[in-house]
Amino acid sequence: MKSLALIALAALCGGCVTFRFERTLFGPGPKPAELEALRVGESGFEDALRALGAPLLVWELAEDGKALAWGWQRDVSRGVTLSVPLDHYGSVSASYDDQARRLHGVVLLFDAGGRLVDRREGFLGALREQLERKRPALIEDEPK
Amino acid sequence: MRTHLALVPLLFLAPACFISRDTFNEALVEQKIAALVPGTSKASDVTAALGAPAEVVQLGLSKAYRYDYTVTKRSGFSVIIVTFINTDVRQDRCWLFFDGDDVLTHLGTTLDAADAVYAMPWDDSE
Repeated sequence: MKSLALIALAALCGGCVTFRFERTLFGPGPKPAELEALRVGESGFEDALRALGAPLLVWELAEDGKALAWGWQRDVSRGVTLSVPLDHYGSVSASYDDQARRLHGVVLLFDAGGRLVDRREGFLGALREQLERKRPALIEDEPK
Repeated sequence: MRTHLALVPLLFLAPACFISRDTFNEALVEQKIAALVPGTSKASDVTAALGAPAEVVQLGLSKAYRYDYTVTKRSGFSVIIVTFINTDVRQDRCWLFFDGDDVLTHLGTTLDAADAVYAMPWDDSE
């Protein structure tokens, strides 16, 4: 029993078990009043850019429409972390899109004429998955 | 002697404080963006002024370029096994939209990267 307690203590002292209080901020997002000022069916593409600034993501919709997304994050986490370093790798090129897709945010949908036609809120990754226009994939010929 | 002994616990705490600052991409220059005029500037003027975009998005026959600069400021401290970390990520972003003839039609700019701060998780720094 004593040796188990010693092993637990050794794990704690070694730094692999830590108690963490961590906050991550990404933003700031658009102010609610700025969002409310944009009216579906009335506001245009230029109004949105002027009111909210540069979006985080832009993608294509069906029938030449486009979606503009603004995201933000305010995560507070508390917990116990057991860290066992096994491997470390990263991809800088994937980081922007990956990070943006995890954020909560608002997506404004515009038709081909630049008129605001809809507004959605939620996780940007899930919203993009639902809304993005799927371009036809290239089908390669069978090798002869 | 007693004063010196009192300082010993401080030596355990001092090395556990840290701050770090990461940046990604080149900072955006407001004057260069302001010189781009919708209806007049072309895609080639944009790349001449701002360099290669971080992303090009095809939007039907038109397209959009993204430029961004990210600053991440992280600060924290550990007391033996308790760790406090605050991460503040802010961006400068600029999206430029072009028509099918490569003429700039709209642009949107947000310059927040300079507002990233070092703080503790309980600070009201938003």
